[in-house]
Amino acid sequence: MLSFLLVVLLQTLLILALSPLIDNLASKVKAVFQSRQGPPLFQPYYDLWKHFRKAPVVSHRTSWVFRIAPYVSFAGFLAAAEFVPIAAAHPPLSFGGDFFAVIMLFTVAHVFIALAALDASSSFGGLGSSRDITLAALAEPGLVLTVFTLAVAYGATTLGDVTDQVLLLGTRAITPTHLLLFGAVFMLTIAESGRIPIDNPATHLELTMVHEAQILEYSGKDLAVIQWGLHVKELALVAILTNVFFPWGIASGGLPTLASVLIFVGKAVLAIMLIATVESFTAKWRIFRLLEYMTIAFILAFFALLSIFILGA
Amino acid sequence: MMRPLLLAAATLAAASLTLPWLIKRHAATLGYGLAAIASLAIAALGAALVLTGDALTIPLPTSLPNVTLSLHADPLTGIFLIILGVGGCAVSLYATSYVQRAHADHMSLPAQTTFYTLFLAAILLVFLANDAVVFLIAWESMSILSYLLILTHEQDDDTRDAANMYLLMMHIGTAFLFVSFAALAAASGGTYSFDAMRAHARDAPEYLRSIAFVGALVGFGTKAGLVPLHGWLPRAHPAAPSHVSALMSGVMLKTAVYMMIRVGIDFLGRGPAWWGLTLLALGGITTFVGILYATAENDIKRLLAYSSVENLGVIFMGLGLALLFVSYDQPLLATLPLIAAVLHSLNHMTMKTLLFLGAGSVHHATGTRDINKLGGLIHQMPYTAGLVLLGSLAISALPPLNGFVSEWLLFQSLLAGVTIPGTPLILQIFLPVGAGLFALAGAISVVCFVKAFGVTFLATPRTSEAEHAHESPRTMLLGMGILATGIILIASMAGLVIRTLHQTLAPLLGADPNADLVTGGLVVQSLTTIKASMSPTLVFFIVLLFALLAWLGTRFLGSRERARKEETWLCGHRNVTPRMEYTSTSYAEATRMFFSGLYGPHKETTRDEKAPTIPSRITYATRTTYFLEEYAYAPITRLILLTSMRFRAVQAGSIHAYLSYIFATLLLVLLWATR
Repeated sequence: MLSFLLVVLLQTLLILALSPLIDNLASKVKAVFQSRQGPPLFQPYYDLWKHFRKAPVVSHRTSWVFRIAPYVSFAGFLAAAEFVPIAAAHPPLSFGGDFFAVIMLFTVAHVFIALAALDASSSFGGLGSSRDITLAALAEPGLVLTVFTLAVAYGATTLGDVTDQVLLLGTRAITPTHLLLFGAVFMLTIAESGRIPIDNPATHLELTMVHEAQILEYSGKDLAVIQWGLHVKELALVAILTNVFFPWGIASGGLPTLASVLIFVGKAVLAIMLIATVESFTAKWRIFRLLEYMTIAFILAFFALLSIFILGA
Repeated sequence: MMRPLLLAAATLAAASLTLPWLIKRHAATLGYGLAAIASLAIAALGAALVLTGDALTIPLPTSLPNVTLSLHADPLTGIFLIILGVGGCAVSLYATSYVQRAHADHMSLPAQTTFYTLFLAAILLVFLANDAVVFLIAWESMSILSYLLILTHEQDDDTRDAANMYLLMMHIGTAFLFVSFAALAAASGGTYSFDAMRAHARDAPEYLRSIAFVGALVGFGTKAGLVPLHGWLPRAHPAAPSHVSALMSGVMLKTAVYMMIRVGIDFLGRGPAWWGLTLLALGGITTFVGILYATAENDIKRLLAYSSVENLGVIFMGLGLALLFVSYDQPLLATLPLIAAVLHSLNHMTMKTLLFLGAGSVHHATGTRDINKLGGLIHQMPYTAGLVLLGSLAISALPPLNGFVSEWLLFQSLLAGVTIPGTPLILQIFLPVGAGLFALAGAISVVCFVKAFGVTFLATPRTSEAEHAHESPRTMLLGMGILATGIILIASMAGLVIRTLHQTLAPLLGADPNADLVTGGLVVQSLTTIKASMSPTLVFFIVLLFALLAWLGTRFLGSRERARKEETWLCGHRNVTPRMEYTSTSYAEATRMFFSGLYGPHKETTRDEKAPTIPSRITYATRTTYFLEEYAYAPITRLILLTSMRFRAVQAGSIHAYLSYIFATLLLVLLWATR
């Protein structure tokens, strides 16, 4: 029991410690594309520390929902990350939730941020809240169809078991189904992490903001908690993208090894380079065209499903 | 133990029917208070039935020859008795102070409590009926009593229209039930007893069974608000006083679910695949249509009513899948969607009853149901806000709450359908795509309830009514608190609940009740070949734990300074007014735009212009097209009106004419009988 709790603690600390770094890699890669130097590698840690030591300034119009939202959204993202294979295939708590649970825990976090955004009575908050929740809703069919197709292809909705199955198949796992699904998950990862062409994390222009508009009222340690939660989400997304589709190098049990952590960081760098490439070479889409984007992801997942039946039969 | 409980409930109900007439000063307290205790006894009876797994039969005295009537309750009934008991108890407690505060009543208080208690009794009788005659009497009484209850507080034209439409639809539905039970009776040797139907309906000819199934589907589907038979629901449920709306949505709709399980699974057993598919498809369409209209709605009670349509669709999807799996000879697999459906019924009772009661509190505190005119209520009504937030999160199927558990089970059931060997390819594609759309409906319900809660309770009040709202009295909060406790209990002990449901429901399908669905009381494992596990209890506690740790961490390790209060930042604008906030309409605008093909939105903007560039006044109106009502209901209504015009000639209003009609009918019947 005690050793179990110790492993849980270790896993949680790994997630918390690694997540700001992974998130910062994207900014770094993007900076390189733009011939800039970019932020220092450990900049997010400094930022978190800076915010953490500052008292928040809150709008006098807000209520307790605004006060608890950072913590609930943080808890939602962290709980979701506990179910995702990061450096080991079966993290200690992974029996407690599958891919569906991960998706829905992300939604919990979204909902609390969206509610807090409404709480401050500003138009920005309402705008971001309405857009963010609606976009998350549009991404849902594609996500769920992906989970379905993964389950039909690899016989599990728990992410660790999918990883095992892909490892077992080895190079035979690289089928059209696999690649189509990777395409779908890649598109949805971009959508979920609020990057171009869905949302621009660097913008503060009201016409284009989605996520940033929601957290405009947060400052100080509240902002630190929200940001850290977002880092954790980013880590979980990258881990799903890399470990579910290319699990090689992951520790097979529940305990991560130093090598598996380093391999994961390496895989994450590659995945983030891919994401950052897309981000650097596309423009942000008009918001009402995003239905098309989500439909493409859905159709990719659907083709993946069809390919199982066509190739399997 | 069970008989005394039923007897106690009956005695308390009798007291609740008589005492308010004798002591009129305390009519509401006595009438509703006693009904609450009676409901508690019913809930205890239900729990006893479920936990012991026994059945209870009570013979009824009858003066008809060759007819034996009885009441019967088995563990399945027990589950629904818990739904009735807990829902009834919470609503009755709420009503003790809610109704006293009501103004402009059209019915004396004792009459109101009498109809209310009779309504609860009619629902109880529906659950306990053991033959078609008692059942139909109870079913009709339930409809008529709820019709009367709708009209207790307001009797304007809209309310009357809604109530009349409700009554009409219920009668059409009941007509189909007559057909269904006639077919079942024919299939089981001419008796109307449910025992005979259970014993013989499985071996009857296919056409009789299908008639019985379709009749039941239309009849109970009307009650449940299945699309396209849903038109009455979003009108009738909001028109009633809020405690009655809560009871109608939270409890009464479940009678349709209960009877659909009885007839579709218990009596008819294994049917052709198209039964399940029809139910599944109708359930899916209902889910989608329900939530789309709920999201566009600005009237809080209509929004909740549309959401009820959605949730009943989810439940019927579960039933459809169960029927489908049974038809593919997979009884073990069929338990999964059946558990999902029944658990969702239980969950929906807790969430929707809570939300309707919350809407009632809001309506009382502000006098309006229009979300656009509310806002900021969390400051005046903190407890109500907290309870409604919990209900909203639960009904959006968010972990760690109970709505998520049933939705997760339903997803796993849809997935299980793909793995059955021998399912046609078309189904293997249809089910996942259906699941994707179901996920979309679930996600839109998140939009809907973030909007409903956020715009109503958060931000700055938009009108002076909202500004001067007041918190509800304690009994009303207590009623809602019971339901909130239910949500948390089911969520934190979901493994236990699912195991109990499994043991209760598996025998209905002829499946092994001890199969390994829940291991260790924690992890819900799928029965299929697909590896899936989820522990609602673990999710519940780690989310709480992480939130708490994060809070403690920032409190003790982060800045120790107190938060500074400032004005909301609006690009340096100092005059922040409520007019700058997002309203219900604007919040749903993104959804309306994305799905404009389904909403058919109309916008009208008129500008009064002094000069070409300076408008003095702009009015803006937006409206949703209800395609079904405009293109399906309206032609039918016109047809009926036209036909009744033709029949007007027969209705001369002269008693002689009517007497001759009766005589002619009698003659025809006699001729037919002696042919």
